[in-house]
Amino acid sequence: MASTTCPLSSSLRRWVGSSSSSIPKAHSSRTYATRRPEKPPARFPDPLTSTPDISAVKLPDGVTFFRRPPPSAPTPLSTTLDPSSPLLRPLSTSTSAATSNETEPTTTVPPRLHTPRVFPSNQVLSDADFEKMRQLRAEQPEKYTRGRLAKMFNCAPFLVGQMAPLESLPHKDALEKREKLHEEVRSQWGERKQLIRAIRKKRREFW
Amino acid sequence: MVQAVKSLASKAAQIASTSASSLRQFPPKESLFNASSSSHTFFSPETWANLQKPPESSLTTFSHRIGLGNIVKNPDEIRQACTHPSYPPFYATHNAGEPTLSSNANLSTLGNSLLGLFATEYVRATYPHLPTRVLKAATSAYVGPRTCATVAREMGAGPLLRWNRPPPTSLTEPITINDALATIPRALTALVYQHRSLFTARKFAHSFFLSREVDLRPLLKFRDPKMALSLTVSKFQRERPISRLLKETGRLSNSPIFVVGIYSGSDKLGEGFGSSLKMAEYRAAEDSLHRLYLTRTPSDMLCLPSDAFSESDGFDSGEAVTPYVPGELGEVEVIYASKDRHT
Repeated sequence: MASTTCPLSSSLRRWVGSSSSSIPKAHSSRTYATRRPEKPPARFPDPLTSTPDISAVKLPDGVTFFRRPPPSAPTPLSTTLDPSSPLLRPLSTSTSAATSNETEPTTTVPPRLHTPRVFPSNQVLSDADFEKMRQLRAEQPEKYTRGRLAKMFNCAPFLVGQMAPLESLPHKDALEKREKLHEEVRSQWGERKQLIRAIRKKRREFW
Repeated sequence: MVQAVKSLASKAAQIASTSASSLRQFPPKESLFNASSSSHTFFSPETWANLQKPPESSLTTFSHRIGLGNIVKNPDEIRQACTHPSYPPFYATHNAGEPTLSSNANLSTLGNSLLGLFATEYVRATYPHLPTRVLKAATSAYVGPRTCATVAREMGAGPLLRWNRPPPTSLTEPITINDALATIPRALTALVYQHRSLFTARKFAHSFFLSREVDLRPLLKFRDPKMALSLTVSKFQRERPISRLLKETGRLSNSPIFVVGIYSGSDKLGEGFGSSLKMAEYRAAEDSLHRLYLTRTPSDMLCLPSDAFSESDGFDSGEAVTPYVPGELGEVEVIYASKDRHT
């Protein structure tokens, strides 16, 4: 037999050799030069082990009880014996009190929706500062707005609004003035824009 | 065509109807035209039908049907309970000689107070954390005028009601058939109280009114649920609520779905879905508040304050009453969106 480097001739040899030694078999393990592309057999993960919400309990008589809650929205109804609101359950001992401390949660929680709020500074304003804020606002509410006062005292605008609110009458006047300006702008809108905004407003009612 | 049939049916339901078998003579003499008679009075069938007394058999059947057969034995009392205060003056104008009829005005007032008492204590005991205005709305839903009218119809008191629609004046509010029907279950509650005891009346109210299914979720609406939740959580002295994205799909398509959960630390307070992030967050805040407010006491653990009324106070207890164990008091609700009224 001549030695060959060509693979085709070697497979051909094999073929020829097998056919000459015995009667041809129907189920001969023949190889092909090219294989037809085939999808591998589908293997499905076991739902009893892959679903995250599943809970398994081994019962005394050897049976395992699997609880698989459906992925639909959970009902808000519950009883006082087992309330679904964590506010009604006793606080876990690991977390120490507090509303102000924002420690990182112990178990894994999903990602935040909004970026965490950033405070302008950690300084604590004194009562004299708030008094000054109120005075400035009362004198010239149009010049010393919440935003400007926040920048002056290096705090959040929300704090200015909470600690130095306007009196009801100047507040109402300011709101009316703003509403009038907005109304003028809204009257300039074209029909399509008006329609789109009206649809959005209606959608909000169904939230 | 369908509308005409419907309006005719509703009209027929409002007109009093009386069965011909209970009358001595039908058609009545005054309805037949007599040329020789001197007085040619106009005959109105509706007025004539309204003036007829309901037969005793129908009153007895009614009382047995609602389970008061052994409690209210006199059919005249049932007749009184079904007579609206607008009826006696109308009856007197057409039957001058007869004594004035008694209406259900006093019974209805007493029954209304009793129903209000039973419903309020039941709702309070069942939902200890419910806010006050929602409690009031729930009480109206359980024993309010519309419910009373519906219960009267379900009992079958529609044909037994005796009333007369007064002509609308500018001073008084118009009385509708629902207002008239609502007086009947109230009057029946008062009758049960008079004949038996407070506890029997309570049982009557529980079986007819407080066994009804009332969904309280539509009554819990907030102007700003996120702020309400934030203030509520600070009242319970927990970590401030933070919204977190649980699931999302199709963010840049025209029909996205977001599932947002609100967490206090690592505890999930509630979750909500929506087609925008803001909508999902809004619903999640509402769901958190629903989960808190709609926590209910199991019915076998329910302890009502009227159980504390004892014979020594003058209330005839009748059957054995469970000793009263006070239920838990919910945390007072936050009143937000008003100056200087929170914290």
